[in-house]
Amino acid sequence: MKIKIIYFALLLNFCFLFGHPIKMTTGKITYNTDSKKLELVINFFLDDFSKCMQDVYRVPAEMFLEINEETSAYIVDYIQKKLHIAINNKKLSIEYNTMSFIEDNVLQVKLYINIQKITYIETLEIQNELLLEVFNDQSNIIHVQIDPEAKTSFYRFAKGNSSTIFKISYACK
Amino acid sequence: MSELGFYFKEGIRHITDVKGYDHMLFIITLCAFYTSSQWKKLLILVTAFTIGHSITLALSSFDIIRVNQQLVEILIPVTILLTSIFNITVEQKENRKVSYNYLLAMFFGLIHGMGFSNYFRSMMIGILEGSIITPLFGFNLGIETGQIFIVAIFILWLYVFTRFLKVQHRDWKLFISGGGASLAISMIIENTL
Repeated sequence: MKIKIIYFALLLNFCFLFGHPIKMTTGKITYNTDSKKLELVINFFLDDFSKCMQDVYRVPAEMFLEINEETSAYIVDYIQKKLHIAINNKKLSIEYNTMSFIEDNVLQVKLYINIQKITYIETLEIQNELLLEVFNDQSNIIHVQIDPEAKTSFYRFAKGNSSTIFKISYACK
Repeated sequence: MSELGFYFKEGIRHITDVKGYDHMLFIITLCAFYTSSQWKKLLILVTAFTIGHSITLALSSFDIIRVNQQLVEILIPVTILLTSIFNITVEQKENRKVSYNYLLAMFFGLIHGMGFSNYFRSMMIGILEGSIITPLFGFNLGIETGQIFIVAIFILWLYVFTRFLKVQHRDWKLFISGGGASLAISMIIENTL
């Protein structure tokens, strides 16, 4: 029995050690006209993300196989440190909504930004440094669609290219 | 940037990425078989590879086939190794209309397409809305454009070495294939350990 546990732990460590060949996060930002909130969805490959959390917070990667108060606190703290959003040059705070495991090995985190006081969005600036400090070849893709009538904008964030400004020009309904 | 433009750029980036050079290495090793005066056959060869990878990229993107990511990461360098071995062991037969290497290029293309689809599908995780057709078309077009670029540069160096510097094609083929095989073996070791 002990051998089995050791073997399983080693295997898990192995997987987390080598992680995912494709280093990527995907995300989407949309505007909810009912709640007057910006809704954010970020998707992480769990193996890479856990390795990152292990490096950054010095906690075991395996703890992120489970979603609980402790793990979600670490995850939200990390996102808030590495993802910055500003509207009309004013930085806003990102609040946590929920998170879940979707698909094989994917952690999906939903967040929001309260923008009730904003009537017109001229520009949206995003600085996305998620996992960039841990993996050199990490890229983070974000889809942005604030104006539901407008086409979606796309951006790929990577090391040396971690921030961009979108011209939105949208009157919030 | 528009949807088509974004995925087109990603396609070019993915195939010309120096850090993920497996596809580039395969194309170079594949092209080494032909001499500079056989550039037409070379283009047919690359087209066969293109057909192969477009098929599996599409099939996997539409979820018609499921791809084992880890297995494909190992098979791709295997295709490079096999191509290198083919280059140095098989003599060109002038009387054959469709050489074995066109079929091989197409078959190996099927495997590379699975590799492309891994990357493409990763870009869709948790955020795909609407049809996958425009992103797929853009991405595939980007890959083909990147590939044309790689082949053009290869042909340029082929001319420089074999026509200008008068290197024998046999030596050029051996040099490229040796390099390809060595890098492929180290990739296989890295991906299986």
